[in-house]
Amino acid sequence: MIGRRLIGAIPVLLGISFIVFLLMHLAPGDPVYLLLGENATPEDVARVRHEWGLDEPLAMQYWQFISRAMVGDFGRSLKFGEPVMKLVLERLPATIELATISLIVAILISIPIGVYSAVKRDTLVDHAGTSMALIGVSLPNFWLGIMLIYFLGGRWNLLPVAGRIEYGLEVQAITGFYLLDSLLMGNMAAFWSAVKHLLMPAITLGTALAAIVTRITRSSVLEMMRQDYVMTARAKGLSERAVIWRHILRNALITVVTILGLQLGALLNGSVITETVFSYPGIGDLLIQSISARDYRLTQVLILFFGVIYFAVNLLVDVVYTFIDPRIKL
Amino acid sequence: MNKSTRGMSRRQFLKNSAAAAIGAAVAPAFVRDAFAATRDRVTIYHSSVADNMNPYKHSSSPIYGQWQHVFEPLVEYNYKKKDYDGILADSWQFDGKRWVIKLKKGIKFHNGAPLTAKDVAFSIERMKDEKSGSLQGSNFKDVTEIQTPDDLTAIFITKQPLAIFLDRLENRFIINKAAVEKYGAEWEQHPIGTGAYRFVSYQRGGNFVFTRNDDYWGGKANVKEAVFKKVTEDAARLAALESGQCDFINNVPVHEVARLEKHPRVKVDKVEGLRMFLLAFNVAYKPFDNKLVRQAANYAVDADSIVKNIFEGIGYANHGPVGSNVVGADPKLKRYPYDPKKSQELLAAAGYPNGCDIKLYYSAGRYPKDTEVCQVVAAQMAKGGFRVDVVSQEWATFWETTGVNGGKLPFYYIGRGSLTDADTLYDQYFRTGTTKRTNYSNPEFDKLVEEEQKTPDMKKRTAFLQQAGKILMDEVPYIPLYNLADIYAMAKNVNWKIRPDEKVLTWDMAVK
Repeated sequence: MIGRRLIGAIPVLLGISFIVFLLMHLAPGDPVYLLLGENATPEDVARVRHEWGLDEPLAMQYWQFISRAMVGDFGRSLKFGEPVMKLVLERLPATIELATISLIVAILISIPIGVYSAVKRDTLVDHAGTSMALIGVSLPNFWLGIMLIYFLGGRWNLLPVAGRIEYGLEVQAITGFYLLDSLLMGNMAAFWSAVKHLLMPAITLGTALAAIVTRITRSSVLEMMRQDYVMTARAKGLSERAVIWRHILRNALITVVTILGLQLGALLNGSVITETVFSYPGIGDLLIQSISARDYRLTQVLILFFGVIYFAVNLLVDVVYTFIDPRIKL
Repeated sequence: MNKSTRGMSRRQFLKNSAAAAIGAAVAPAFVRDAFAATRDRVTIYHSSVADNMNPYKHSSSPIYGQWQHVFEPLVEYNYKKKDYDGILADSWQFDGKRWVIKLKKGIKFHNGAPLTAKDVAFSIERMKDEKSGSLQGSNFKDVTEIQTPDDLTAIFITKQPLAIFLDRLENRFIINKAAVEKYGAEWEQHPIGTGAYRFVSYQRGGNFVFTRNDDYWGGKANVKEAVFKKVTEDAARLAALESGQCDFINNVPVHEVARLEKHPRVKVDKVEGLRMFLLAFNVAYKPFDNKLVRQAANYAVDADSIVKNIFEGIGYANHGPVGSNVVGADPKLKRYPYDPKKSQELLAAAGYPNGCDIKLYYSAGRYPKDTEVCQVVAAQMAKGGFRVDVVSQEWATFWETTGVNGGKLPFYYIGRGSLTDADTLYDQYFRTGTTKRTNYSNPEFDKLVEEEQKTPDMKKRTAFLQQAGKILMDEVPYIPLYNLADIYAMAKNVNWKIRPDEKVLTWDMAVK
């Protein structure tokens, strides 16, 4: 079944590449003009365009892109002058690390609050929980990011405001995930530096997700609490804790996991803004740079990557279902 | 011990030990980082840091400044003297279509190789080779040949006499031929220059690091290590400086200056920037084909008030066609005084007794407070009889053949950077046929620019530029506005005279 899903992804990705290619070329703007700067004469621009093959017909350019991409050659970035794949791969771990930590932050905050709100329905605790969720979902993440920078960075100097790790503490890249690499190397100073650098972006990115998950957890726990099997469990004499965490939550989680999967897409979108605010060198930041330089080749591949990740996450969510609920089969 | 108490104690034990472990681990991690710069290291958070390792694959002043730690140019413009200083060049001579450049003796690259004219010729050829990714080739499009008769002499042969050639040589860094040939395709990973610093490391989106070259021919730098980090968010740069996470930042927003000046460990410094802001007319469009309308518009805009009210007084209104520090400025020329009544009269004389409708184009977010500026300009011009519709476009659309460079915008707000010599503006915006930005054409003006470009003598050149400026002030194909300040902030223990060219150089920086 998974194999069929994978084959199904191919036309989707081709479609994405085609749409992105068209959109990028339809949007006004020329990478050459942007790179050559204020002194460029029209002749300079024409010469460099030719050099880079940008004066070929669009269909030709697309065909070249696709035919080379098939054999794994995505060309060189116009802005950075390096192979596109190298640029993407050197930044991908940073984004995955950030998204993972954000997800963990979001889950750790939201599920307990959601469950607690549901159990203590209509009490002060519940109201506090739901209002926090409302605020969290309403805060634009660039604003939250700047507020964190201002207070936690500028005012109190608790956390670094930019980058992934402090200069001088860089770790040798094994997996590209700084947390993991520093642990593998046993370098605790680097580990803590990476954690400190991750905290503000992760909170910024995770807050909206936490808010949504809190609300979903609360409502699906409430729904499960009314089910007959819950009454059965209580009648068996199970402790309230066992009823909630083992019976109710496990069933409520199916909805939560679905929403989490869908929201991972939002997490990726959010990474674009969050990474820019925190000068965090991930693929979101790279995407912004490549779009504003009209770096067609890089943008195309980055968006394809977002597509692949989105697809992979959805597949993963389906796999996770089968663990939570053995009745579901892929 | 029964089962349940054992279970309880285990749980309790796990809880306690986890809490203790987290506490012990986190506490030292959150202790404040050390404050401020030391003689050993200065950390600079800059909004613009090199995107790649090729010193020729960009055209941006701050990035020239970063590479200048490692590589050096032949000459550099001295803003105080208003003339060129030799860096690697000892002397130069201009006659007809030849520029003869003599190199300083005894300069060595970081790999120990002596600097020779062959390295100069090799570097220029690299810059001209656009296949290698260079974006600086156009500076040498008039150079037909480079001769190297001996180790310390490079002769540039140009298509026509080129008085402004020194300007083209600025920021054109000299690399080591032998090193490039040794490393081949990998040469970019091994930047070897003659500069005051050696390259240490570069991480895209991370740090760009240099360490002092103790054998530097120009004297040893004070600061041992320079770390540049790209931080594009204004708030983040400010926060980092205020908390001591970095020592030096650029692009301080004007509204933050007053607050920062009160900060106990931060100081602010500003310098008149080289970017001149103007409102350009494209005279191919009505009503701007009419000189009276253009003059009316000049009377209607109050640049002083914009500087005072929008930029909190931190700016320099242009009195005359260019800023007062620019080569070719003329103290005798004055800007049009703010006089909305006169503007209305001129408009009526031009055939618009009831005023006229125009559009003002700009690209929001490109320049500081650009939206506010354009709205205020619109309001000021309304009093002078213009009904102005303000239109913002995304930069790429605004700038390229769809906009300014395609001659598609009749009236727009623009800044011209790196403007040290009036020629840059005159040639690019107003000389017939160079660009379509204004479509202005005046044979008399063109002739003066042509003459000026052929004249090596700075005094005579300035006179030509001043005459050209006089014509512009009469025909006004634009409204000169102001130069803004480049505002930097640094930790109080950092001593450095900031420069007007957007470069941050740690070579002559001192840390107390």
